Amino acid sequence: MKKFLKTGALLGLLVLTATSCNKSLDELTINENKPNAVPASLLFTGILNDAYEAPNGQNEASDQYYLNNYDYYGNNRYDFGSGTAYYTTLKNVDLMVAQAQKEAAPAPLAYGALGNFFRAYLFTRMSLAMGDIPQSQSLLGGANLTPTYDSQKAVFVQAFKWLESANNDLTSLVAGGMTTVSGDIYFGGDLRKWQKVVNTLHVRLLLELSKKNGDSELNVATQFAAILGNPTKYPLMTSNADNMQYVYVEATNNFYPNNNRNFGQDGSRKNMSATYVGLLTQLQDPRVFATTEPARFYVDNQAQSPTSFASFVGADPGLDLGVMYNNAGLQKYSFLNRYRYFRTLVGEPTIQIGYPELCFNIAEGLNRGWATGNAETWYTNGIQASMAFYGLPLNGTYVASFYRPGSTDVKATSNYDTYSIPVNYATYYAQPSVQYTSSAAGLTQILQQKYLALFRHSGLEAYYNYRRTGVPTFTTGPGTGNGSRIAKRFRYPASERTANTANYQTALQSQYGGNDDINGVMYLLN
Amino acid sequence: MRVFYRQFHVLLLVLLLGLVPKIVLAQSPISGVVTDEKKQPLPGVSVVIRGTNQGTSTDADGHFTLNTKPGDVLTISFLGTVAQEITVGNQANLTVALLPDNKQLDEVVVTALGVKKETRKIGYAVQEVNGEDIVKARDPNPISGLTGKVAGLSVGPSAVLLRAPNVAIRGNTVSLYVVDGFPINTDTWNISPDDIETYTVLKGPAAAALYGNRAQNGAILITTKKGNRNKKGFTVELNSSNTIQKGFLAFPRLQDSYGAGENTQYQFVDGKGGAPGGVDGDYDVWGPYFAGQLIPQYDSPIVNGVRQGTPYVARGKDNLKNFLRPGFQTNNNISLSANGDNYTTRFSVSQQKQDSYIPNNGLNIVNFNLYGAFNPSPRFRVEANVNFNRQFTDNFPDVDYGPNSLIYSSAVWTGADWDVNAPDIRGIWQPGKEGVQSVFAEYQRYHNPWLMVEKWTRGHYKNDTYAYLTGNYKIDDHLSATLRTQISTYGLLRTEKMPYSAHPYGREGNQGDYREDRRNLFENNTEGFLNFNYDLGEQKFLSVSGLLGGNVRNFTYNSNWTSTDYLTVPEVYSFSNSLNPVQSTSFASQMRVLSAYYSLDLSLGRYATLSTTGRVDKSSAFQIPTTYYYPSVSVATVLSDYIGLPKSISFLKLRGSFANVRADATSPTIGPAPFNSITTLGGSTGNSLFTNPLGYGNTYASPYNGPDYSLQSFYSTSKPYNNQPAGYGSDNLFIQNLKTTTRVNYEEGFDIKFLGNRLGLSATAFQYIDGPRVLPNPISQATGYTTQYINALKTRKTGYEVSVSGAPVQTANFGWDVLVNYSTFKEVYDELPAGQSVYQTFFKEGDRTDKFYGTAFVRTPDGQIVNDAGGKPLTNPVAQYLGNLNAKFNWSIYNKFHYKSVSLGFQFDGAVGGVTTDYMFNKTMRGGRNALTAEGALGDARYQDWVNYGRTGYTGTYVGEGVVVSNGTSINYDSQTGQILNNEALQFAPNTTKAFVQDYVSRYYNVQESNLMSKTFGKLREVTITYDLPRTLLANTFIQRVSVSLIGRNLLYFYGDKRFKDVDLDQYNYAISVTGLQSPTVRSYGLNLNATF
Repeated sequence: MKKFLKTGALLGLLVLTATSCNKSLDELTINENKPNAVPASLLFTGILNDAYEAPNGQNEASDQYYLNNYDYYGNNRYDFGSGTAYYTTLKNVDLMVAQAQKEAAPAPLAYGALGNFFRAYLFTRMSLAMGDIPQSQSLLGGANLTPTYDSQKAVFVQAFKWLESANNDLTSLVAGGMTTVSGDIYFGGDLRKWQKVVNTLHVRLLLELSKKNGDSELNVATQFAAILGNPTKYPLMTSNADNMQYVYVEATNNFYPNNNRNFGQDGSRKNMSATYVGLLTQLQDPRVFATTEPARFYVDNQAQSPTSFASFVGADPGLDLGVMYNNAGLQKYSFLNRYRYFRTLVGEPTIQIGYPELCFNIAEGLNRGWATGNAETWYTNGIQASMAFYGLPLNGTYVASFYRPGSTDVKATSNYDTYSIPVNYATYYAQPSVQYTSSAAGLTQILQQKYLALFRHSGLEAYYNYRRTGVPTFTTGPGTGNGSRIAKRFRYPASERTANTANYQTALQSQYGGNDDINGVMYLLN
Repeated sequence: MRVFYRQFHVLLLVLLLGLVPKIVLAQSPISGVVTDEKKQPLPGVSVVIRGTNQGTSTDADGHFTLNTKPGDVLTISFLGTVAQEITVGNQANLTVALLPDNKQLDEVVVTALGVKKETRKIGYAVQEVNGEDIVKARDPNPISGLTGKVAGLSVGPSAVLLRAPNVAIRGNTVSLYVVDGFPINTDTWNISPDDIETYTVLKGPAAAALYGNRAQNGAILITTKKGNRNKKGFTVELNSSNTIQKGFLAFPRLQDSYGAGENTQYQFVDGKGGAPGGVDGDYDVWGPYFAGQLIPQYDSPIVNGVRQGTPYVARGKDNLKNFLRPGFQTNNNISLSANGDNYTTRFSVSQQKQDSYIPNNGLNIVNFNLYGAFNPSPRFRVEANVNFNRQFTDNFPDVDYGPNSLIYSSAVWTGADWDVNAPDIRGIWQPGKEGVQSVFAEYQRYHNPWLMVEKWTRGHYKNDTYAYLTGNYKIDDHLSATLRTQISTYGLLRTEKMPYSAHPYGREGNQGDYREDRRNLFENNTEGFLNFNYDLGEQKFLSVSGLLGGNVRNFTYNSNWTSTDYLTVPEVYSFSNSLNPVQSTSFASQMRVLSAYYSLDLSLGRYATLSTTGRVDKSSAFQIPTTYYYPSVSVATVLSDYIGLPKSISFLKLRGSFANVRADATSPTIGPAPFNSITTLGGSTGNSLFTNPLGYGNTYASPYNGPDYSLQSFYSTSKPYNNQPAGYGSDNLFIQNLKTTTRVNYEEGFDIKFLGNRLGLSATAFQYIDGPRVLPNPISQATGYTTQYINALKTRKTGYEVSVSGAPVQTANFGWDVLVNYSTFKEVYDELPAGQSVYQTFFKEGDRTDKFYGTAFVRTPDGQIVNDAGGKPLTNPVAQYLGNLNAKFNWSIYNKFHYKSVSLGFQFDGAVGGVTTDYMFNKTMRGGRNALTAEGALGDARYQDWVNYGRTGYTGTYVGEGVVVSNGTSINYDSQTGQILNNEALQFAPNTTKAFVQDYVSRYYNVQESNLMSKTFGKLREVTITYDLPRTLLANTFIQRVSVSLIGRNLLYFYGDKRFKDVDLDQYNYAISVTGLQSPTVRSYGLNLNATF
């Protein structure tokens, strides 16, 4: 009995100790490892990072700038899959705006204005890729699980309203002395710079609609003229210093996608495209010395000068990849400039929305007669801004650096052969192929220069410009797939097919004959 | 909680009241123990004084107490055994062993909560494996030994040291392991097979419903050895196995004719892409033919700053084989047991040491098990058990695809142009750069294997304890109360020491790293229950037994993961040596489950047994604390007891069961850095238990069984740019009032025995209706969210299991035992989420859930491959159905012959049907290292590509199979099915375009269809030849029993298509569309010694 009591009591005590508890079941359900709310500034940073478009991806093959040459790592085929959806980012935009309202101070209106900018920026980015998209009924969460599609036109009309609103709000904020917000990664939160971005995007979006100039709801030319005609109301970027550009940071491993650590796998698995290099050499454009290297086959085996334009050769994007890889192995193509893109970890800043493109967009609008103004001035501003981005002087010497064959360290500047190349903008511009003519040929010149300025920048802008204008000439062949067609659009996300079936089918019927066809022609291309 | 305390008080009261009858006992009773022929206690045995109606029955431990006087004759009887009569003399204690009645062989099995029941009364599928059956030809892993021993239980043993096997019952991974009635958290390595008496596999939810949500996939019950209570005194048992691992079952098939490089070209400049065409960095094995030509190589001399050419030969033929060594494994166990009148103790130490066949890799496990039971009084019994397990190794292998993998670096992506045993390679470091820069043939992506095994080391140190304390008080012959508590806890430390010049994905800085992954889990289960057992009615027609109880489960988990961001000083592995700020993340979770349960068995004479169980859980691991209920009902009837059957049928039982189980939001395992937001190391961040800050290697999952927080909405944070914090809202939506996932299980079966129980057949059919479940359903992203958690989706799983066992031949000297298992199942979609006609892009109602949609060639209506104008096959833009991922069925055959003192046992097992894709094959083909790339037409063309390199106009030799579109028409595809829409407009002509082999192979073998492999395979799993020393020899020694066995494991692997014999399918016993890199699988042979003193 005593034994039982003793052991029983011991056991009982142990049970009581082992099960002692100090939290209620309700408290235990909560994940204490994560926050239930974050400040608007953190959401802003998240949105900016989501919206960032990096170089070196598949976009550069679609833009026909920089081509994959080894099938194992990729190809240059236009068999597009789904377009990128930014709806979750746009939800964060809504959360940011709501959170800023809740925080009350310091800047609900600022985050509201930036929110409208991102709405315009990201909805049109999706529409450009895919066509009609859910917009007015979107972002309602569980309240509407099957949002209907808005026409591409409606998406743009709404985008212009948001941009107008953002511009007005920023004007009043700046006028009221409120000039910064926190959480920015581009301009240190300078709202004046953001206002320029807003209007620069506005111009870009108007140009995307060049085929819809006559439409009375879109009012493309009127809006264009209004912006251009009132720089006080619609401040625009005025130099590269205003570029919305992603600057790489070595200390925090925000490396440029090409860098000295991946030279061994990336340096030779892609080569330059003839669409880009061919245009540069045809125009005798010194930018070729900054962005690429001469094809060593012609320099080392055929004794051509490394600074001769003839030594810069891109591959035809339509070429069969097996042949291209073999030629690349034989050094018959130009590669990305090692000094600029592989020597360091930070490469060059990547422009998301930039001044050179703005110049060409304005020049294009003027060439199209949307407003009165001097197209040539904007055209030359654009060329000069682009050249300045690469450090090319207006009149002087450019020191080109080409990696010396047989070198053992891509980081060491001593491993680069340098060539002092005289650069003279006036000479360059004097060429008939470059000098602006206010005609259809002038339009082509603008678009060619825009293409050159967008190299490695602004995601798919170069492809969208080509798709809209046919400039520059994109080539096709077995290497580009899709039955030798340049695809016209991306498919909708797969989840639309299973989870928003009826609206998805309706959208396909009204646009692409019921098939989610990458060769289908969307509204703004008609 | 309050409910529990009330129950506890009642229980305590009952325990106290139960003492009263003991005090009034005055007469001298006789007590005893009844066991079976294996000396295992038998509960429920009837003990009656002949000619009277005085009697009792034995308790759960086979004990009985009865008032008798000398001369009384006790009739001791139990179903399935031969009844015995014993005349009472002067003895106070009796030990009676009942021998099986071959006419009515009936075993007792352990069921949920450790309750032993007669199999004849069980209405669901249970299969048992004796511990001693798997300790001889042992697998390194204690659970892997169960492979093929149980129908419906599939064990996919990992080929890689220290990885856990995938243990699946009826296609669902089991996460519930129960030791002596208590759930434990196990990685399957913290169990010592030498301490296991039996494994009992509860296959369905009905069997396991008493364990609540953890049991939805069945359970494996482990009954530990407890010392032989019936053998007084002191016993020592010794078991020792020593095996070597040598000879490969599945090994990469590699070519040694061409070296590394691209486009048949190679030369070494800096090993980092400095060579023309970048051929010396991150290369493939598409380099030059080994013809002894002079090529600058990594070790070629540099004269006047110019690297000279040296003969290019296959000096590293068989590098991988030459690198590996025979492995060695030793397992030793000593157990001591001591028994007295009122106590039993057992004390056991096991040691396992594995020296891997990968140099400098190994694993040590020490396991300490202590069991003690004593009876302060005949009615009161206390038992306690502690199991302590330590796994430790300073280095275990990581073979997951990537530069961290030995297989990746030495078998897939490098060629025979370097020799693994060359002195410079073996010496690891470049002279003068010790600790900083290794020697290898390439410096961008691949690694010197010796650097990988000797300097780049991964430690694993895990202390694991599970223990329990139980008190049982027998209130009277019908009622007993049990109060018990248990803990299961582990502390884990994993380290990685990465030297300078190692450069896995995301860590290309070559400056080393040190990491620690620490995890701590503590779990306590405390429960109390009452067992009852009444016989009612005339002739005790109705027998009622069962239990009623409650359980409180408390769980807490903490982990942290920390890494340097490169090292300041080489080879100093400490956080204070971090070059950049240390990266660290932590995670904590807690949960509690309150439960009450009952179990009730009603036996209607000899006609039937009706069993029902019920359990209520209230769990904190859900949207809100949630209460849910698990009922089960089962019926068993032994027809042969009351219906005349043909003489050849000695036993026939029918059984059926129903159960409904539910699951809260928990996960059986957890990863290194849950919910982490570290972005600088190249890994994953996000809202999951399994995010890994590293971009390479294995994401180690350890046992968890805690909350996964998947039903909670919260923000994510990270620092994606310049150390600036960023926040993101949740992408998940949750409907209100989510209900727990539900599974309904029906099971029907019969057991039949023939020829005086010589041969038995057991067959089971089962149906699972899963759902509506808590479904993370993809929704239109236009909502702003990607996923909505809803209650939807039903699937139906149906399957069959057949087990044949018996002893067809039994003579005085010779015997043959056989066990055959067969199992099959399939699962289909029964009900898709409301409003959806398809699920996950391709699946419709009625479709199998394991249909595999993968990339496929575009084909003409008559099935020919369509090529593009470059002569390369076109891939369909829409994935196509390629087969089912699960095997059609699994089978195993175990035979054991014994002649006098010698016995021979062997097991074949395998699977039939199903498909997957061979990743090793894919990578070695596309990388140019597979033997097939140098054989046949491919090999001939490859040689031509080398000979003709650089010749103007040469565009290859190889002409691929199939056709090309000859009329310049573009193919249009249906965006949903991938069908060609304009077949009538297309004209085809045979392909005649020549292609370079490297590009062709890269294209062709990138299509999953070309890597598709059947999952049909067979294995000679184990062979044991045992010699028992004749007892006569040992008669005059202190030794009681000695047996010696020759053992072999994984001896032969049968597979139809030799292309795919580079992967051992054994481990892929689940639906997986692509295999991974693995260590080669090896044969093991050895010797086992077993002795009892």
